[in-house]
Amino acid sequence: MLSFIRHKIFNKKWLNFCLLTGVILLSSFLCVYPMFKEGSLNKLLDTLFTERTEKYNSYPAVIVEEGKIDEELNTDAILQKLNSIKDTWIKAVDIPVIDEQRVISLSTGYSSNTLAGGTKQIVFNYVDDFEDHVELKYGCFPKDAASSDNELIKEALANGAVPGVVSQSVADEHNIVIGQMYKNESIAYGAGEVINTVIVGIVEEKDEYDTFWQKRLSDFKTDVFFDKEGFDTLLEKNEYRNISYYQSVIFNHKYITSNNAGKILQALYHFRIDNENFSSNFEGLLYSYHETKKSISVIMFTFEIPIVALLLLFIYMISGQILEMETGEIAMLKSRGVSRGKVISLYLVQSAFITLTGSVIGIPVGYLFCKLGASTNAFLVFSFKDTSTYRPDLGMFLFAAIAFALAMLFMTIPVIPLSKFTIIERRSHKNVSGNKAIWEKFFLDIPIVLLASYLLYNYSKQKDSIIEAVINGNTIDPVIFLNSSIFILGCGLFALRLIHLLVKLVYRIGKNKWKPDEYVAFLQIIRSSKKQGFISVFLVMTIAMGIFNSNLARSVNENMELRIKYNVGCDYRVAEKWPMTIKKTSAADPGSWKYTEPDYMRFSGLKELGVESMTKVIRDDEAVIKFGKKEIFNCLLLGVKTDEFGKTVWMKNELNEYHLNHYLNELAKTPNGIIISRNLADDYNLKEGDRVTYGRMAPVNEGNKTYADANGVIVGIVDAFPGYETTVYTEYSNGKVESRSNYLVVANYTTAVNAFNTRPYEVWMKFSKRCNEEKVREYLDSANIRVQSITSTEKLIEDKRNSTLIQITNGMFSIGFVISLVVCTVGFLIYWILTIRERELIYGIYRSMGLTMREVLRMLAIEQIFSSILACIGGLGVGMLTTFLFTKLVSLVYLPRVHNIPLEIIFRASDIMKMCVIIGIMLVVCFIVIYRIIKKMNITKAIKLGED
Amino acid sequence: MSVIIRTQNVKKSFPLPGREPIEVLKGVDFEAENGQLTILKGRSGSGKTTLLNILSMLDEPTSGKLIISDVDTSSMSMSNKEKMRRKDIGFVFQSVALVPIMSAYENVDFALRLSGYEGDRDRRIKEVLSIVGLEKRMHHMPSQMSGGEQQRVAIARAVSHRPKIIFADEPTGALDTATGLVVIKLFKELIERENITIVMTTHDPNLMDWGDSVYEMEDGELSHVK
Repeated sequence: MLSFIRHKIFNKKWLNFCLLTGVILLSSFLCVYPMFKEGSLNKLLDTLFTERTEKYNSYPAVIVEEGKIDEELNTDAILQKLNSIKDTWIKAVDIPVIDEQRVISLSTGYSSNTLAGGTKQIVFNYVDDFEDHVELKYGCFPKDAASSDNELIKEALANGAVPGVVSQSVADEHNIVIGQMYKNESIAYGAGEVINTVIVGIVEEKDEYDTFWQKRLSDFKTDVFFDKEGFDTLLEKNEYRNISYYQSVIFNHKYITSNNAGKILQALYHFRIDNENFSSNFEGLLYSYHETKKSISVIMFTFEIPIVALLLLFIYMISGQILEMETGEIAMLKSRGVSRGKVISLYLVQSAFITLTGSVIGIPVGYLFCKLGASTNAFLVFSFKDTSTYRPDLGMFLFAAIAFALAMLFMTIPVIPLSKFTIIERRSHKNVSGNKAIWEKFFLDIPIVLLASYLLYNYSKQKDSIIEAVINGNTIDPVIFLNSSIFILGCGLFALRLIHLLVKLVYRIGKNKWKPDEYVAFLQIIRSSKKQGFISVFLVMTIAMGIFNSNLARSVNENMELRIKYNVGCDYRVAEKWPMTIKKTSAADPGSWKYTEPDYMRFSGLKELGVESMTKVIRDDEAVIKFGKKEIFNCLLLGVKTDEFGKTVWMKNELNEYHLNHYLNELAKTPNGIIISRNLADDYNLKEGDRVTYGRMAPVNEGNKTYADANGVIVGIVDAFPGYETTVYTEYSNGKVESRSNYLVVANYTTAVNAFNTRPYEVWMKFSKRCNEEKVREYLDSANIRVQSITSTEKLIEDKRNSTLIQITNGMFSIGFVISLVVCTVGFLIYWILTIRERELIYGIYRSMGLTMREVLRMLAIEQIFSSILACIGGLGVGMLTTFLFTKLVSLVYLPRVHNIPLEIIFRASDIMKMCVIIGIMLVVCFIVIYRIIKKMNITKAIKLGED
Repeated sequence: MSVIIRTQNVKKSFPLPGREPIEVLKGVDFEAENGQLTILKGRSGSGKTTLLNILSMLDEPTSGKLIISDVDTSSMSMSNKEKMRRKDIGFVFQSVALVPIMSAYENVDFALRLSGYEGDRDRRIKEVLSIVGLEKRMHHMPSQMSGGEQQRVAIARAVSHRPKIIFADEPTGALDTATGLVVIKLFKELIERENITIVMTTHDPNLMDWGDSVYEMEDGELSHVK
């Protein structure tokens, strides 16, 4: 049996090679799923942790427990207790710990100061490993107090005072000096002994980047630190009352991966539920990750389905082709009494051999595809970026097994009906089988199109709820994505139906006029539409999906880039740290503040590096607009130097009624003029010439009172302005997002400075082609410009391109297109080679009857034009139609937020050209192969073939 | 009667890789009279199909001359040969060789279009199909016909454009005796009606009597037996 199968496989080696290619592609594409998903999720985790670190400027994976201790425990016993709690966390979270901090505190009442008089509320602390993490500025540590030369200390110790140290900031704030003694009488609600403490040293954090200081030394506002012995004394004297603790553990978030994130989230959740003192700063992050993970799984799955369906169709087609050629063999076996089961099992073993080989090879190929997908920057744009988060995954074996099972199924299905017939039955069955494909015969294309259209209509009506769900991170309905593929399938089939009708029509119109080659070509297309239909479906689907995917990816990518460019407003924005001095008359006085403006001229050197233009821009997101007593907070105020601003910013012109320069010119003409946003004008019924009062808060807290107000005349009303968003979104720690209207006031720079004092501004820059971010950063460092914040359009775009969803989309679409193109080319070539081989006798007859070589080629050309090329055009049409109908809806998943730049469908002729060139090359290669086969054909041999 | 097709010392050899070329025709002289049925008989592999291919210009002789209607074909260009095959020659093959995607009507129509037939094609198609007795099955596809019916369509296709010569290679080879006889009778009838020349090969001794002229081919050598 095995040698028979081997013989069968080698007998049709090219077809079996195609089948193997199909299985390899199927297995590899399915294997991409777990690897790409895991890689993307790990990247997502990394991004979330990095963003969190940048946003809060603190370590992003910290567990904290703060509580009270109501037992009579000394310091060691408390530490032991805390250690056991910590061990439970570490065991549950199960990733390396970077650092940990334990603080035991004893709250006291007011302590009287023996030196300076007066009372202070003091907290006594024991911090584990304290001395390793602080630097002694003055005095000594408590353990060395006994040997101190300081007379005050000596005296205090002699009076039974417990030695402690304070931080520099506490010493400064409370004017504490070394040797200062505190006498505490009211400790333990006045019931305990009098406790004397003495300050023997002043300390500072040894290293400001030391991860130990989760709770920083500066957070201990009225605290004194003791060594273990001293703290034990204090505990005892206080009768073990009012003890509290703080314990934190910093985990290394790099070890949180898609594999353990769920387990960690569960552990954090249980700790929080079971213990009200427990808190962590990454449970919300992991929860949001968990929600995104669901969406990512759904999206990736829906991206896989159409390509997997195409591959299965390919396997089915090639397998069917092989079986078609082996029909006689099968019928002969049946006629000789071989049972149906035996015939099927024969093919099962044959299929198993090919599918097993293909599935195994598919695993490393899938790895390469995954790396290829991970390296994309846009649709079919590959780069050499870091793809190290995409690693082989055990799930690949499971998916290879799924590929094996599916391929086996689709290779064996066509055997089942064929295994029924003996030679005689087969012949009669062949004669009755129709010329039309099942979908064409039963008009299956129509309900598919209707279904997809209905779903599209329905989703379009639910647009708002889709947007809300996406914004809040809820799982995305996979049908939104799948529907476009369903539509492409239905429309593709319908297009083929129309093409068949068109060919019939053209044939009928010139029926009596067609030359012999044209006559044969038309009849060939019309009569072999069922067979050719398969390859046409491939062409239509591949092109349509390619066009839609490329247009969707381009629309998403470009809309995203446009929005980023608009939001930033220019190429690069730098805010410098300005020194500020506050003068206070009393503790309650917020103080008078004054910023010192650093020398702006230092920025001028940037022009030599290629900064085309730059300008100072005052930007305040917390400005206030006033209408009588009504105040609107959190408005955006921009103070601009109109001329420089106009030269520096990026703005899409169609967004406003006039060009941006028109509004800037109006502003320049009126010193107290302002430009306001359309939403502000609409909501408060304002028009040009009206006056608006706007104000800024003081940089130091003064409550809800503005520092100063200005009154401006409206000189322009705009829908959009560089750096201004009409709707802003606030994200809460529970993952919920809320939107609100954002109002804009643009004033002249000088007016804003005069009204609100000199305050930090941003420097907005426009780069020439020879300038880049790296050069600017180097310059800023060399010019000693202390950067407060940098906003780079290029960096933001790059980050967004690398964001999980965009990366998955670009990657999966690109891999999918490459695979479908390979399948299409192989399928197309094989179909035509087999067709030509099948038609060898017929070509021999044509040639013997006097049809010239030129006419044979013309005949083939007509066939290609009216089948393949029309199918390509059909695919192009279906792809564009799908683009227009579906892009806006599907793009909402990527860009759900309301923006001044409305979502546009963007497609480039170059993308379509790229695809046409690829398909064109495929057709030309096929045509050359066919031509060579026909040219080599010997008429007499071909006719002889018929006799055989 | 005039000679319409003639060969002079035609030789044909086929090269064999690493061996001496095999000589299939060893200087054949052949003549066929206009309006006659000329039969080439011989065993399988005797070279009769090779000779027929050369006579019909599907193949080139290694040496010797082929003269059709007093024209030496060795000096003819490929396109002229193709033209002649389209207009003046008809073929009937052992393998029947109908175009499977065309109905009986369309198969005949194709031959007429090829020859550039200037008359009423529809009438002519119906006419020839009725001669072969298939006027009622003209819209059937080859796969819906028996072997004999298919061969009759092939004959109708071969004669449809009124060629000067029809070459038939074992036209009865795949048919039973009775059907084979029907085909031969049809040939004779066509010669009568259309005044065409038919050159056919066969190894069936029962058909020899039907030939106006009979040649026998043996090991590449031809002898005139009738």
